[in-house]
Amino acid sequence: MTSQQDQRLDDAEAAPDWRAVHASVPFRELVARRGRFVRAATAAVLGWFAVFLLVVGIAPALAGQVVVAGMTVGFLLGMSQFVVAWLLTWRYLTLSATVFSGLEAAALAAGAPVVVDATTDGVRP
Amino acid sequence: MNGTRLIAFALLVGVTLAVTVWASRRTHSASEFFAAGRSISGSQNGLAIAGDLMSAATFLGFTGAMYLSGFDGWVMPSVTIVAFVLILLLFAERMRNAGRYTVADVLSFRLRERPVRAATAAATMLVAVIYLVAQLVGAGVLIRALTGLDFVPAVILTGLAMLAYVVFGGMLATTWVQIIKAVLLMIAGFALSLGVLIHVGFDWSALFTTAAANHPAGDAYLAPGGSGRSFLDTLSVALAFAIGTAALPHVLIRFFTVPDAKTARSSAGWATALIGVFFVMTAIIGFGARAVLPPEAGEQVGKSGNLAAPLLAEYLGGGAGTFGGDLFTAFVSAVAFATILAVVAGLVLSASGAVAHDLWANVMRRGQGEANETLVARLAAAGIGVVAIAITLAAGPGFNVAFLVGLALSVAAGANFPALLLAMTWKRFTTTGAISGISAGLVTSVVLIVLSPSVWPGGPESAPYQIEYPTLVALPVGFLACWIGSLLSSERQGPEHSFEELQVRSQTGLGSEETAAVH
Repeated sequence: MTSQQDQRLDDAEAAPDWRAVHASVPFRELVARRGRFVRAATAAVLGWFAVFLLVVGIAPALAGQVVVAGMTVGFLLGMSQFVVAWLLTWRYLTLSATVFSGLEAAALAAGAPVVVDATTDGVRP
Repeated sequence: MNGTRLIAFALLVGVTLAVTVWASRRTHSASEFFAAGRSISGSQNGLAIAGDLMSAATFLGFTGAMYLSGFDGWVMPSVTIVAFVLILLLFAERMRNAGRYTVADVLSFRLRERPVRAATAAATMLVAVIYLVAQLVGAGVLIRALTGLDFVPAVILTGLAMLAYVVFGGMLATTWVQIIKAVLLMIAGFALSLGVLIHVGFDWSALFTTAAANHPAGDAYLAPGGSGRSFLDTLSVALAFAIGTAALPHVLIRFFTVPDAKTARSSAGWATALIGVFFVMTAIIGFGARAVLPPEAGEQVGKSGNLAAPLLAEYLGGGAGTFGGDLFTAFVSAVAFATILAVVAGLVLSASGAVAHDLWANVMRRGQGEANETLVARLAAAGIGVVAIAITLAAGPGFNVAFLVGLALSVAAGANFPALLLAMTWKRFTTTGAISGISAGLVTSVVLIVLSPSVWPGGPESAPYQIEYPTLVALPVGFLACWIGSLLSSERQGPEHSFEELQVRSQTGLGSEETAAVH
């Protein structure tokens, strides 16, 4: 029963106009802004991961240096991976709630069935 | 045989089977079987995703590695957290928006469906079955060490419980077993950490200095090198855990169980927070076991270090032979057992989706097989489970589990990750690119594992590929093959959907699968 409902969503008559959404200004902004954050955050998390591994692999003496009793540079670098992960996660969730959700809604409004006919010729490839 | 532990194990299996009976009454349609009717909330799904990665390998393996080799053990949890950020940023919402039941739904959306689906399903099944055998061998060995039950009955009992969850309770039972396990494991981890911290007087520095003082290596225990692993080995293992984990099919299909992309996002956030706390606790437990346990414990912990956490529980509970020690060990052991049960159930479910939804309904029946999809999925789950149990029994308790986990993560990193990422983000990615990327990542992983020191028949020294895990090579090869395959083929668009449509769908959720409850 549910799978039939699922299927029907794919049918042309029920499908909202994705071309209109794609051409809309809020959608362009959504893709650009979310893409910018995702690229920067991915680079940050992978970069810090690389720094950790390089220090461990190439400078093990530095990694073994004690900062405070019992805590080595390497251990703290490992711990900082968690801090980076938590901060980026928190930032992405806040941005999604404050910026991206609004843009998503605006982009979807641009594809609402009412404007379907008017926009079919305004599509850029 | 240990009575208290067997009773704890039996209680746990009883509770999970009760959950399965409850779930089976709510599981009829394909959407209910594969995706729990899209009824799971953000925090519940976050617990389940974190639970998938709170496996015996992380709870017992990571703590054991830290007990044995100190800093080198700590590298593992520190790199695995990276996978959760990648899942949130790259996959969580896109999976929910663009797919229905399987990873192949998303990967094949705008490509030629049948070949891409078949290749993705093959990679999913390979990852699931290898990981499944690794977990089942681990389960047999662990249960034998903890209760005295033999390997063969231990594997068969674990396998039967796993099959019951999936075949009768589908994703709903699989998810709730995982949630119950995750909560129990967080409680066990918290209790063990608290015990350690009380023991060292809540002095964080004292925990590590005492641990180093108790270890034969002294201060070197807190520096790299304790495991004797080379730099390339560390790099390869780190890539497997950071990238491979992010592309494990049984983790990614959890995003289909929530009502919408917003919930998918929040569940990935919950998972990052929970697994982070859990990993920090594994450090307190692993280093704590070294600081707290008497030197004689070293022999009981074993070469793999897997029994460090249960032994720590016994010591903190009052010592061997005391009621408190016995009870606390029984609790921690039962939770470790629950961990394996919950993880293997998720693996069987992901493989049954690949067989029923991808291969049967969409490749063989060309999309006309939806009516019987759930039945085929239940049969496939039973078949895959029986095959995995048979392989496990044939392989026996001496089988090298670490290499199986390495192979599964490497296939996920080399075959799944590049193709999935490029299908969603790179406009010029083609069917040929996907097929060549998936097969190159898969073949490279398998060939390099055979040529590696732990498998090569000529002995570790003469092995042609001297690195433990294939990921360091398989991941770049996967990306390269995707890229070359796409450049060499002229296909611009899939027959039905374009990149633009996938982009709209994955970014906004337009046209995505709705919750059954809405209608």
